[in-house]
Amino acid sequence: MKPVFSLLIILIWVFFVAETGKKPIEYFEEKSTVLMPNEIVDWMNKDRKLYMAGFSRAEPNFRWSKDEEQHICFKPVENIHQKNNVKISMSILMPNISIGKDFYVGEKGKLEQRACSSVACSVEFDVPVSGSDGRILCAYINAPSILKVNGDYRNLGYKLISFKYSIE
Amino acid sequence: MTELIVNNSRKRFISTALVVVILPVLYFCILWVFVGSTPLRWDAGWYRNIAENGYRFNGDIWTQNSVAFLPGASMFLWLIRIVFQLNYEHAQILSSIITYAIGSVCFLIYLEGKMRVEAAGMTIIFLTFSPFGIYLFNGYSESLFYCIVGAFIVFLEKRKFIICSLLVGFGIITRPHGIILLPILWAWWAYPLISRGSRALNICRSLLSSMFHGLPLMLLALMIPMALTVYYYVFFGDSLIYANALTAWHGSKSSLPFFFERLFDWGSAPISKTHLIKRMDNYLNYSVEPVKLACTLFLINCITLIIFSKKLIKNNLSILFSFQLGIIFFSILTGSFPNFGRHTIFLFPMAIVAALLLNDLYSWCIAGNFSNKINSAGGIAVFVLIVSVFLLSFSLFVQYGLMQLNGIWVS
Repeated sequence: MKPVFSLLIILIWVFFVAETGKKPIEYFEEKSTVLMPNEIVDWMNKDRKLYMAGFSRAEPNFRWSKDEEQHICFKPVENIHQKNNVKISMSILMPNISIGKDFYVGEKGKLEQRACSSVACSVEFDVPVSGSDGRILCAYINAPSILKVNGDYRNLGYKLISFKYSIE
Repeated sequence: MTELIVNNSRKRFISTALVVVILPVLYFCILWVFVGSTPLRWDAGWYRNIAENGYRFNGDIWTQNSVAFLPGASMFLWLIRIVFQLNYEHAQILSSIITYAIGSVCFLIYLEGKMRVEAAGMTIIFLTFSPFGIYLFNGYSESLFYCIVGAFIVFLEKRKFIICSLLVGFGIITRPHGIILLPILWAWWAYPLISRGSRALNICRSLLSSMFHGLPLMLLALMIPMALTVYYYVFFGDSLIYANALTAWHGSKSSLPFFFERLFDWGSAPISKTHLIKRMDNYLNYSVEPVKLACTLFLINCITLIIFSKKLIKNNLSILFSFQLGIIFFSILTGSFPNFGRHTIFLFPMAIVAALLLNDLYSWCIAGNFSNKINSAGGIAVFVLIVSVFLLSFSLFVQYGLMQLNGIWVS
């Protein structure tokens, strides 16, 4: 077999895999149902209405953030207008060592600064619909994981309790 | 006279092969009978399920799915079941034993010419009775991959490239680590064709040319993985479904700082709830957290590989050396080493170096170098160190083996 022919076949295969391989978010888009405005999803995310990255598995009363960056995506209602912003509300528990420390929230590349003044903390921020196709919206959070809990090897950030959005 | 020497060496090879195959298998069976529970848990069940029912996928990537497993081990299991007319569980045990035996004999063949056959046998014993050696017998894909790597190394040394490329293809669909074999095959094919010259430019041109002419071999090696991606696409609409399911299953990615943190944080007794690891104090008076041990083994093996690289290459162990380098790069790139202790069974410079040192020590004793007290003390110290490390490793093999057979996930 000629090397050129072999190269061609390999390149076709690479192209085939690149074109036909799905991204995890595509599975989410296919399987998840619409998240209605003001519908509260708790940390368990039982109906998988949220696509969560950067978080641990669900624990009995919360879910830890465990990576430097986290994002939460959801399928909004279909009639959402391109000019609308959606307001994200997250209920979190911030560990004592991180109270008063800055973290960042918002849309990808345009994060706003926030800080929690107490352990129980409600974080609100806007995510614009424009710039996305409106089928999936994602909220980005950049909160470092610095907490070490005795008996747990992970670096932990904050505890996620619930998530919802509303249309402005 | 020559015939007598050949016969004698063949007898030594056969007896060593019998020891390295029978002893670990027998020991594992004793552990298994002693505990009285099935050794085929967790992932072994998934491999069996695939062999029995084929792939099943409900479209939800976040639930545990059989598509998160490569099909090589299941295909082999299916074949063993057909050939020996056994039920799936028995066929799975038999396939582990067969692949372990073939892999060990292959490694023995490869190592035999580089050291005394008894020392070669010691390498396999060190490797098998290592803390995570239990994974070579419990129906996981590790044993088949061990066999594939052993056969690949033997055939690559004999320069049987067609067979090697087929082994690479089957290796890739058995364990993701199989991808390491691809560049090794390519390099070994291309290296002798490089023309030696004084100018760097000529050497580079020659290297590229020889690699280019090796592309048909790469295509042959990729045929089986190609067919698998097409199969995935036709049946599940996603040619990368394995990667997606695996990532969704395991979730987190690991990092180098994370690795060092696990390595040095020995004091806090980190018992992981997510990894289902329970306290081991019930089994022996001391315990080592498997996740931490994996990091430690990884580091010690890396250091051993670096320190003894010259010795390994000098002893014509270059193929094995490059495989070990490949495993290190793979572990770092994928972050698999802090998560899965069982991956360290493919990283065994400690085992090879210990056997090489024992081999040297034996030759040194035969040469009658005991007259020098300092040399004697050094020799004894090396011997004691190797025996101590082996005993520690063996005790962890027993401990982790008992834990796993008692239903505690160790990795």
